[in-house]
Amino acid sequence: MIIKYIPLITLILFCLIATTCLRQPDAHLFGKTWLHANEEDTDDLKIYRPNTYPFPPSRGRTGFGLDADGTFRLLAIAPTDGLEEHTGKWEMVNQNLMRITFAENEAEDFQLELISVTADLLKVKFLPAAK
Amino acid sequence: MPYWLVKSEPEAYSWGDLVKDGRTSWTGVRNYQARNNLQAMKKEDLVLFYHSVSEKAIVGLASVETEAYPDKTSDDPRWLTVDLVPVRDFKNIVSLDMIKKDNRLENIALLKQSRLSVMPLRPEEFEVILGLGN
Repeated sequence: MIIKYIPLITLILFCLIATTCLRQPDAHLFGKTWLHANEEDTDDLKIYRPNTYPFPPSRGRTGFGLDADGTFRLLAIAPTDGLEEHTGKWEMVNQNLMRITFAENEAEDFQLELISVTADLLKVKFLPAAK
Repeated sequence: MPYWLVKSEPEAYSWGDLVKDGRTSWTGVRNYQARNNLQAMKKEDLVLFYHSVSEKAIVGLASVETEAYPDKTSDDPRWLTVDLVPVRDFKNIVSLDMIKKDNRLENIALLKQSRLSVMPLRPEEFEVILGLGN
């Protein structure tokens, strides 16, 4: 009896696995702090490099970090000019779009569109939070 | 002519970096009072360059080359920057300790508002520091 459902079950499992895999962001994203290479920005893309990259001297280099457990660390410039960290969460909306959320008053929610990522180069677009 | 003092951590952007670059955009200010001071700067105003945190000393004299414009390191147009160019090194750096011990500088904003990164100076304060530095 169950044999005739095997193709259907297989198809459902395949779809579930495919969906899960598609929503996994590139492993290069994790375990590092990405700093804004504003010198390399284009009109519509923001460029980030790992904090080990030999950046030119600059005041005001913001950034962020992502952990595989869903933690997002936003590095913003504090009123005293140093960096201050705001911790939030990330989750994939689709293959290229990440939703970033923070506790109330911690920072504003936003969405991050991942254009491309390699070990030392990340291209993104910042989008407003979906309503 | 108004006089100013700006602070920078030398590990992030030093006086030596400014001398090497010949000009820099004073980006990264995210404090409203400091932003307002940037906005008040006029071309050719003189600016003392202070190394904060690790050195705590005034090390050079710069001037305003370009008046305030939006800071491209922020997407928020409220934050501003100016362009600075180096004028000359201080022969003798003027340490924070020297400033604290000089009665003529007891009211300087560097001591009264120690966390502010862009601040105005009175002409007499500026002259005292210039004298100490050269």
